[in-house]
Amino acid sequence: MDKPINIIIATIIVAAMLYLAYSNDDREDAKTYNSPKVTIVAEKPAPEGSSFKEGSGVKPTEPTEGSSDSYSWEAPKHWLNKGAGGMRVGSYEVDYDGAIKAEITLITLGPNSGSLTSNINRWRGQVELASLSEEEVKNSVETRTGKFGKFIYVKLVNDTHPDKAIAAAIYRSPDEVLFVKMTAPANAVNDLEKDFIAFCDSVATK
Amino acid sequence: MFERSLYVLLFLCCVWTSLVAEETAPDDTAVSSIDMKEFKSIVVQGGDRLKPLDSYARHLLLGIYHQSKFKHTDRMTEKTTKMSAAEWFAELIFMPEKARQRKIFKIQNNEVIGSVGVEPDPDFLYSYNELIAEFENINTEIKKLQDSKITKEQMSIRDKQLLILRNKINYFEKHMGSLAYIYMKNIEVGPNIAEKLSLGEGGDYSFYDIYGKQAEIASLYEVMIKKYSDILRAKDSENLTKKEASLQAILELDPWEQELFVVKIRSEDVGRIPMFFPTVPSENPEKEDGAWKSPVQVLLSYKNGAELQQYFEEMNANYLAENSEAFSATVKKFKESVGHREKIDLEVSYNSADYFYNSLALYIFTFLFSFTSFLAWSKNMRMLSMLFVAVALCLHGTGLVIRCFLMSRPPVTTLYESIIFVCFVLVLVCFIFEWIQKTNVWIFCASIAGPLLLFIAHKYSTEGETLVQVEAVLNTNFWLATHVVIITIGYSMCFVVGVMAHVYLCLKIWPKKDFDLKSLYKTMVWLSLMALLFSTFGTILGGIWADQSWGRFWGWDPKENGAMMIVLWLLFLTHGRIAGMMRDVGYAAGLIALNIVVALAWFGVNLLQVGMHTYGFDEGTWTNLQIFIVVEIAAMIMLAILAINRGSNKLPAESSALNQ
Amino acid sequence: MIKTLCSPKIFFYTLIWLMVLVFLGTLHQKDIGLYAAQEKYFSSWFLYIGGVFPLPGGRLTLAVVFVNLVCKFMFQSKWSLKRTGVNITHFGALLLLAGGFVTAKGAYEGIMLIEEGGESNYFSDYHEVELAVIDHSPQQEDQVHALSQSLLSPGSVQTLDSLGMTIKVVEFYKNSSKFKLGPHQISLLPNNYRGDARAFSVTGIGPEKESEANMQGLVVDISGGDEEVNGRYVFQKNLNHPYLKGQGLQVLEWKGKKISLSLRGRRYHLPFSVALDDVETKYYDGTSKVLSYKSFVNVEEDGANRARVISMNEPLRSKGYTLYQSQVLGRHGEITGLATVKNAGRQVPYYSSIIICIGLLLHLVVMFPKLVSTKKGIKNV
Repeated sequence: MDKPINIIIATIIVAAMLYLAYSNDDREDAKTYNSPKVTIVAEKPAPEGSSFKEGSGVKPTEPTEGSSDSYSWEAPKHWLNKGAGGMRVGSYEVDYDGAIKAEITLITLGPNSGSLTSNINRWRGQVELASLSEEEVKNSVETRTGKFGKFIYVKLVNDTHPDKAIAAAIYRSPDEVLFVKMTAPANAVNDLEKDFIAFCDSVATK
Repeated sequence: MFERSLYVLLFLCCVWTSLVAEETAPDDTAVSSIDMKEFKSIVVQGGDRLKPLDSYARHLLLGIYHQSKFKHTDRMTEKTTKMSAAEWFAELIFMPEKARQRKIFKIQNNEVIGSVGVEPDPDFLYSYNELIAEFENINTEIKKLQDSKITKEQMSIRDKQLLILRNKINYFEKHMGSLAYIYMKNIEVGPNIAEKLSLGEGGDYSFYDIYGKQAEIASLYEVMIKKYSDILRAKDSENLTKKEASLQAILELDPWEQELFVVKIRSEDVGRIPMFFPTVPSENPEKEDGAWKSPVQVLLSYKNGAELQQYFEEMNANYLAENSEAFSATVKKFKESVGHREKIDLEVSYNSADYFYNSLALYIFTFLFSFTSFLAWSKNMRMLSMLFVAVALCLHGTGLVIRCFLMSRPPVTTLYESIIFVCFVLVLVCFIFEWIQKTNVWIFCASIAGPLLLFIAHKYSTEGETLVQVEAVLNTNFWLATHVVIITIGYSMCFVVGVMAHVYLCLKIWPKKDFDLKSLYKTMVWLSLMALLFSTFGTILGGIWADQSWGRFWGWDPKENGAMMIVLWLLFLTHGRIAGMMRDVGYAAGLIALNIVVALAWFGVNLLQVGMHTYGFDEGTWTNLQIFIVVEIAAMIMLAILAINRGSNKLPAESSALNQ
Repeated sequence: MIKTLCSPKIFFYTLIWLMVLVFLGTLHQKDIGLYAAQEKYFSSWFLYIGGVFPLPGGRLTLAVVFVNLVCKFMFQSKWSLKRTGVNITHFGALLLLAGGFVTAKGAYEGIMLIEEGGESNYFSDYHEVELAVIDHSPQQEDQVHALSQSLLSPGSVQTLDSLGMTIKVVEFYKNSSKFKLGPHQISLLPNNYRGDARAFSVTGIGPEKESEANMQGLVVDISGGDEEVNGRYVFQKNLNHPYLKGQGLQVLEWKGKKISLSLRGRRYHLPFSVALDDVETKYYDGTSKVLSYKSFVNVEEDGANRARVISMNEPLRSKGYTLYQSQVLGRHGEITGLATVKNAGRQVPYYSSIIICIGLLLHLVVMFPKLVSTKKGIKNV
């Protein structure tokens, strides 16, 4: 049990190591191969002057129904239903282009969960926009009529902080308030707004 | 023999005192005579698991008051009020007027006190009522923060503290109103509308009282509104302001219609209806993601909620009437209707046993006795120390085991648990070696490091919930049981030799007659090899786990690098010793430095917030870490220099056994 | 000479430097990100201070340790009872280092994205890109010519003989920003700007902290074809998302053939294909915290189809490749992301760790009586 064994073992290890190291990497820098046929799809035109990722965009699809105990709504089919939990009566996730996701939540709170002004300003703060006075808030939101009846709709995009934007709707009932909110980077919110508005319009009480 | 018995008696007295006295101290201040036993074990869903109300309440109180028991001494009357978390929570939801007066919001920052505008309290504690009086100020300040659009990093300490305070208030309020819908009678129902709705007499009703009449109210309201709108339209021709027209129109309605207006508006005004305190399982767990319901949610959306509502009502009434028996009976019925959940009772008893706090107390006693043993009565003091440590280890171990059982997983999954576990292993190893070698220094090491570590752990436990569910990617019991446990044992062993190195150098500087220093040195060397074994094996296991889960054995992640540094440092010391580059003093100094390496690997890497092992930056941790490093470096340099100079160029004779 | 090579003093000093490297590299990660720190400190042969002054990098340091250990093992390791444990440990360490080298040199990994009902036989590199020239003229299948990133440095010229196409790289950006050109800017463009170059411009920007987020950019001059087709083309990395299939290709008529060009994540092909039946996501009760992901796949190899389940902590291993459940994407959560790794040295750490532990344990057991005295009668303090 002396040196020769050690030398043999060591040599084997080193040789194996070198062999495996250099033979394992079978990647070629330039290669040619066959691949199944690819259908070339036309690109979508991008907004003027924007820096964007080519090929991003959401295909329109048909709606599917969703509901909680007191509300019902119709969400586009491609919205991933994440279900309810805690304060949420519903939530969705939309895969925008693989890297970006939009999150949509439906939350009910008591009837005194803040005035319109305080809620709008709270959201404004979340996208780093300054707060507004009561008058300004009233002028900055839109009143829409959907299946629920009249509800408030607002889109908040801060151009200096485009990584987070909000589009939201507020539905007031006597005993509670429903907040429907979409959170995503600005370009996603802009692109998905059409679907989101259709969604908000479809919200109804049971 | 007699002397010995005396000491044992002394020991038993101390143990009894520390463990039991707290519980049975004469309580001149019982807040209410209601027995919390049944109440504590109501099941609540919080923090992604089911837990007893006792834990839920403790967590809430910890979040606001930073302690899990409420205690207050009135300066004027000198009366002390003590409440357990469960008692405080009961008061909060059943008798909020009292809860609002309790001084539980701690504000130590003078600027915040100034901004809020409350009168400074010598104890820095404020009640909800005091703060709510200055609510406007708080809101204005918060609004200013939002307007200034500064980022989190730019905020001053005062700003951060203010936001934290506001959150605490929110949290408090949300729970306070849990049953408000039952007892807050703030909807004025006029006699006419009361008759119309068959409610009986007019008067003040709660939301709960009115809830049953919702449908009727709604239909009556529709009719009334139509009438009101017609009247208003008729007034269009007259030249009135909107307000005047509205007032006149109202006056033209019937009395019951006018009262209906009030009912409708007031019931919209009823106060926040919180979704917190979810204590009833969902009727449709599949659909609703398994979320449990709060009492008011049960009212609003539960199909079979009537019976449950009755329980809430009865609980409320019995509590107010201070009828302890009826209260417990109702709670029991409620729990039965909801259904039993396993391990709830165990967790309640775990909470009250406070294992780690008690072992900390015992470890401190150990230190006292061990320290005394160097001065006098060494044999008996040593024996006492050993006894105390033995009992403490039992308590400590029991706590660890119960935690494993409660969460159904191996003992080390969070930072807090790692500290407790390291402490346990460290004390155990020292205990064993004291038993084997009877040198009296091993137990001394245990008595220093033990309470220190548990004290640090205690600080982490007051930050909130310590029994939490673990992330999906970490949720594999096998690897948690092997890699994490082994690496944590490695940390312990490193600390064992690290602490012993201090003592070794001290003994070198101030030699004790007849003490076999050489033997201590050799044992220390052996233990450091043990530390190397566990650290190396643990680190490699971590790599294998990463390979199994993510496809890479080694990612140069900060935590991985930290663990590797420990191994490298130990290798460095070992080979330095073998190569003759360092003798015993250098080796011991290197072991002291090992403490620093382990502390950095254990706590420091989290502060970097890079890679997969991030838990969030903590100012306090960083400061304490810096202090620790400075102290250890100073100790290392001082002791090494003194040891080299002082008397000893007489090194323990180099034996072949050492050159390994 | 041999004696010096085997000396533990070498290990002693090398260790010091290794610890310095690890410490500095770990700290610097906070600023430049994990991947960049790894490239700079640990995977490199040399570390350049101030961009100029060379110091040993991680690889060189470990190489020195390896040589030192090999020599020690070969020439100075006697197999006596006392030394057996240590020798075994050294042997295990040797294995570990050897395996590390095999991995460092030869392993590679990427991500495979498949949607439910779809299948894939390739995975894309996280960091590197390739320029794909796709010939759509063959009847049955497209022919793809892929040029990887290392061939795309500014000034390099690549020729595709079968197409008679010459590609000269004008610019390559490790990270880039793409801008839409206004009509005025377009009118000022030289005539030989083709395809996307007539609508967008691409400029280089600093690297992202998360290396995977880098969007590489490329500007090339293509020649060898018809007049109207030769010229300058610009590219930015196309994402490999299934939703974007078939998008982002620049199409041109090349000598009567339909050709498309695309800059995309570098693709590696597997000797088998993976078809996805279903992806399943489970949450903790009452929360949106993910409990587990699972992919139900069919793996086609050697003509036989086998149904397998890939979940977190339970990867699929086949033919030297390992596929791990990494992400779930898509509007319905119907796309699975499988992290794929090819690593011949994968199993070495398993063996070496066992060996090291056996060695250390043995040594501890052997040394216990010699080092730890259990004699009663040791006087205590």
